[in-house]
Amino acid sequence: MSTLLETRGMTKRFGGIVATDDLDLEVREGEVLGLIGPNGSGKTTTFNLLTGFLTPDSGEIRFRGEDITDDRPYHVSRRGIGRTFQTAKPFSQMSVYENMLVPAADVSGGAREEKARRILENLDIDHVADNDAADLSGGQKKLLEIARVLMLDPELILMDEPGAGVNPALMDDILDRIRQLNDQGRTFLIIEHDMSVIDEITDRVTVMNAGTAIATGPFEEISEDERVKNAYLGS
Amino acid sequence: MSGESIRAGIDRTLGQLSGDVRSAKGMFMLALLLIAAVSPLLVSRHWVGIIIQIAIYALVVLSWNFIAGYFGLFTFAHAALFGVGGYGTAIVAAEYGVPPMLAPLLGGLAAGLLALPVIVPVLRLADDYVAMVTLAYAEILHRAAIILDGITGGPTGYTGIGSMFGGGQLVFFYFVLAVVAGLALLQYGLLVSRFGLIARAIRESEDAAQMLGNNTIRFKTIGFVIGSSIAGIAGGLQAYYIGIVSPPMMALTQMIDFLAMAVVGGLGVMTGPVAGTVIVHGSTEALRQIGDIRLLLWGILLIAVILYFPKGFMGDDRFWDRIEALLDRFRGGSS
Repeated sequence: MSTLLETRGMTKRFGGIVATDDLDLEVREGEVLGLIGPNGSGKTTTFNLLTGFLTPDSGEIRFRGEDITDDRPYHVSRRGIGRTFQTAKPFSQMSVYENMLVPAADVSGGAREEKARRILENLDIDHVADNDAADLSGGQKKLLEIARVLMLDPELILMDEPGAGVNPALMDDILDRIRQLNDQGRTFLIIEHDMSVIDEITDRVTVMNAGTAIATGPFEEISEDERVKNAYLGS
Repeated sequence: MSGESIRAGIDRTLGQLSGDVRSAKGMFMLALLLIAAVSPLLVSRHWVGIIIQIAIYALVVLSWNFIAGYFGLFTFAHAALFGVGGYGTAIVAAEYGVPPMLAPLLGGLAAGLLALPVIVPVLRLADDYVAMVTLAYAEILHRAAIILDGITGGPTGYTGIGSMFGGGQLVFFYFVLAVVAGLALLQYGLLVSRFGLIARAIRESEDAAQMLGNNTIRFKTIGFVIGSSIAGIAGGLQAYYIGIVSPPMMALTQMIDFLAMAVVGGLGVMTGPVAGTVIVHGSTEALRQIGDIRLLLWGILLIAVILYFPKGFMGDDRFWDRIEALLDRFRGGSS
């Protein structure tokens, strides 16, 4: 598997706090990589750095070998990196269908509308296309976020806690969608606190603690790692 | 933008418009426009003057709503830029002999240019901070108009602008109505296009809009400059309407009047500013004869609107749904 996204020595400080500390991270093409760690370990900051909402103080970020360290979010997105947020951010005063037309997809007019309909159908939320996004359930909002991201045909999708605020039945549905999209060749980087989800869905896991990656490997392997146990247990 | 995409934009705008004017809100707007258009036959010169003022203010509030209601950028610099447009128009007309029909366009350009310095902090800030920084900028422009008396005429204002159409009220009335309707249609066309969709997305979550590949900074800059320029053009019309441009036009009290019109009409609704201006300015003028007690009545009216129409008169969907149902019954009965 070739490297799709990597960071080298990525450091971000907020005043005296080091949010990411000389972080090396590698996402391989076609995999589902989990990013786990205790609260405050720098996972969401890492996502914000990878997607251009923050710029690292030092180090670099490469996507397909190209330096994207100073890219703004819309550049990152146009390069083929999609992102969903920890708290789903549907445009709630728009219909589901209108939400699908916001992405700057490289198709326009009728083709854009056709693509939007097709994606909504594939994710089984086409029956709520004309509803206000505000009226969707927590799980449907997460699916809508995925659907919107798919309008841009991303190679890599970053998901920040896809399970947050979703009932267990719909969570299974979301996991099925992730698997299906992964089978179609899309790569995923997923932050998740629910270890059963991580165990079920990921090929590899990177564990962060105090802004740095302390272990990477298959879930069964890293769950036995002493450094990981210490990080979670705080000993 | 190619000729083809402009044509497609015009087609889309007209297509959407032909549907929207059949709605209850659309018919209400059409009725207001028709009443305004025939009003010189029905009312005194004094009231024709008031309708001119309502039309100019409606244009300012429409352009504020374009920035604040759609992009969510609550600018307080709008009255100041309305004044900049007034001064710009008056100065190019009086000092450089620019024809009256062209001068307000240059006033709009001046307002667009003077909007640029405040855009930089506006783009970096959110919500309340946008209000604060634009309020400070408005005060700078307002003070500058007072201090730079060699250019602006100082506290007493700039006179000598001359008149449009030789001072004929009726031609000026229809000219103002046409300019306001044309610029309202331009804003409508932008708001029903992809541009408007992205503006609404930015208002709800700029992070999500950016992460979906949209250069939100570019959209916000364009929106802010267009809205400010339109306020500047309205300032140019105002300069010709009252024949003087003076600092109170740029003052915070004027901005608060515009905000009252926007809130009463409804934010983020294209028809809101027109209705809000008619209600607020129309009632202020109608009650003028009864003396200072009108301020009390006006306050009560404002509270009543906010209580019964918290989203503004045009923003209350339940009310308009009921009107729509009544219209449907009428349409059904007449077919």
